[in-house]
Amino acid sequence: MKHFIVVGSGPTGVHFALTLLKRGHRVTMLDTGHRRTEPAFPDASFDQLKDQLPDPVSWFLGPQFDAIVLPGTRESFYAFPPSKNFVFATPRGFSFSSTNMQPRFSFAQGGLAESWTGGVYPYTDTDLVDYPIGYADLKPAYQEIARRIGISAERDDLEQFMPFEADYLDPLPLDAHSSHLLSVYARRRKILNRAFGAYIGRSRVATISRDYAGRKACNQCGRCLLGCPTRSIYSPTSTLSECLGYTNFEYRPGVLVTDFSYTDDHRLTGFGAVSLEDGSRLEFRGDEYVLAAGTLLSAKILLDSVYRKTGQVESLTGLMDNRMIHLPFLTLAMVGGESANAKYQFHHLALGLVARDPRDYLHGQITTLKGASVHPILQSMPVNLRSAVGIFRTIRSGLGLANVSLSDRRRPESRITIEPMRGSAETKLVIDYHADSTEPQRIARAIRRTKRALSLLGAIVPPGLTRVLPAGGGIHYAGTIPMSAAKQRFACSKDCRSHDFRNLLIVDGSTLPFLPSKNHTFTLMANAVRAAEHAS
Amino acid sequence: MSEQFTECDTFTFYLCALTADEYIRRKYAEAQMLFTADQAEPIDRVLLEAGRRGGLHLGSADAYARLFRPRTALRQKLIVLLAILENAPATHRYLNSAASGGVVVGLFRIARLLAGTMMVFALGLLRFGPRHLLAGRVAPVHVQATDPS
Repeated sequence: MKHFIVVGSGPTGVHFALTLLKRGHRVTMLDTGHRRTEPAFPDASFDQLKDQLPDPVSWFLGPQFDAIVLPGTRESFYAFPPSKNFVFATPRGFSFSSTNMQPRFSFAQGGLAESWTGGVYPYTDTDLVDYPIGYADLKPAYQEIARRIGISAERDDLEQFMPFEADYLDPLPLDAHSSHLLSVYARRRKILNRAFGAYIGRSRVATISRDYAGRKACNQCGRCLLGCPTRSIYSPTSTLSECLGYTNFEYRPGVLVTDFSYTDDHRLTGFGAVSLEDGSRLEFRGDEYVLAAGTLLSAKILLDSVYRKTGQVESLTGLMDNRMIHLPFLTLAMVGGESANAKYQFHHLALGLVARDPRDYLHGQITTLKGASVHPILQSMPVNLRSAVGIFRTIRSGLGLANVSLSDRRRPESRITIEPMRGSAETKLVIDYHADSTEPQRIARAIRRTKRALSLLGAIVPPGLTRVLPAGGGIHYAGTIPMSAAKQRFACSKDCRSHDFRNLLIVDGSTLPFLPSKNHTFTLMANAVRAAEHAS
Repeated sequence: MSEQFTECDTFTFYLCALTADEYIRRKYAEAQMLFTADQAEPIDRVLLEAGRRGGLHLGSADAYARLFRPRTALRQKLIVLLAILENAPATHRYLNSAASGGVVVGLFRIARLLAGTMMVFALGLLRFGPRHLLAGRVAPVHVQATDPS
């Protein structure tokens, strides 16, 4: 039996830990662990919540009205509400600078996955072409994750891009707008497939359509973006709860891991950390050490460790993120329909656009409008607000958003480093991201192709409303300590064992050598299970 | 304070044809203390004064501001209030619901609203354009993100 020390309670940390616990190993998990507050009125729907809360305006907009989107603000069409502030809260003293990227960090229990929309799409061999592993290596782990978290899905045209596993649950009930789009797709499938390389099907989501693994089935309350009050949308905190049921598991929240110490022959001897309660310095010792803090924060721990030992400032190259494009659309046939606020709020449909180079395959998710923050939409309409309210109420049943993401490749110029701070032992995280030179053309092509596909579904994309999110907005960071068959510096083996440090494993997004367009969380979780099986 | 309540009532009726209650007024007053509105130019004060009179004055000032002065105090106050109204118990259902009736009725309603929009915009252009022009500040401002296609 070995003792593993795992940093981070995000999707990779908890599944790595659970796999080891099931095999009888001892696991200590170190975590800053900002926690969400218990949801108010968990049985209330989106609309009912506004009636029942004593001060709904403060709850939805924040006590300082921070969630109001004022004119000229280039916000996304759906911003994170104040109830999600805990996900992005950073501990005192944490500092960073960034060029060409707006990164998001999470020190929350559950990590950045506390703000995800639940999309789970396995990678295929085509997606994994730059990896030292293939789909067959990941398949058992995908199946294991599906059993653990519960995935609602349906067999459809998207199966060719994402294998369908037998362990999936029935899909969630469709809303009227998504159902309409899918029926139009069924009628125009031939032309969409052959002429446009466009395929549409059901989203695969980690939201359960029936009671499963101690969690309640989605009750269609429409509060997904605010934070699912019934835990129907999977969160790593559910797996953390499962880990806490093992006597060989120790969870240490309130700890900020800063570095690891290691011997001259590159064997780790302990994780160094700071207690957030009293600022005291702590050290945690085990047999094996595991970085699962997320690509950006794991990079900082590794770079700080090397700096403290050698005085050298190193860089990790190859930082990637999926560039996100938001295309709001209007389905004309749905104009004048009923609104559906009490419905599953996230995407019901997914879109696949094939490309000549399979690595340029485009993945998108289609979300129809349910309960939402409406003032950002109204103020962006090119009319006075009174007319905007009237028009919006008439067309809202036909409004939706296609969210398409681009794949990304490792480039040496996109890197993470640290900067020592004067008069302090602390360092600042420095992120320097450079998009690939062909990105503007790829973005333009992605927009053009998505618009064509939507138009064949009877939906129009109003001019001027498409938004390309800044780099970093995808929150799918990866690539800085990649899996590599050949032994090389600042990389890891196909089993996620560091090539540089003997008893260090890296199991988060850092290890991905290529970032396909599909959401990577499912693969991260599966890869963590696979790495744990090899480590044990 | 009563002037602020009157302003809140006028703007609430303009935005959703409903009456502001005490809760909405209180939240509006709280928000006003936190947001500093752009009143750098004389036109900002003119638009706000016109807006406070309600009805067509407000509609035309809002329409004009949307295109030529999108960050003006009047627009900011209206948007802050709109955010409050969409979450307040007395008004959220109106703003969060659909005006249903089918495609034909919906398209007819949109056409009617667009005609009204054109009218208030023309009125706003005639009323505020010359004053803004005299101050040498008139130029359409594009606030939307660029569409690379």
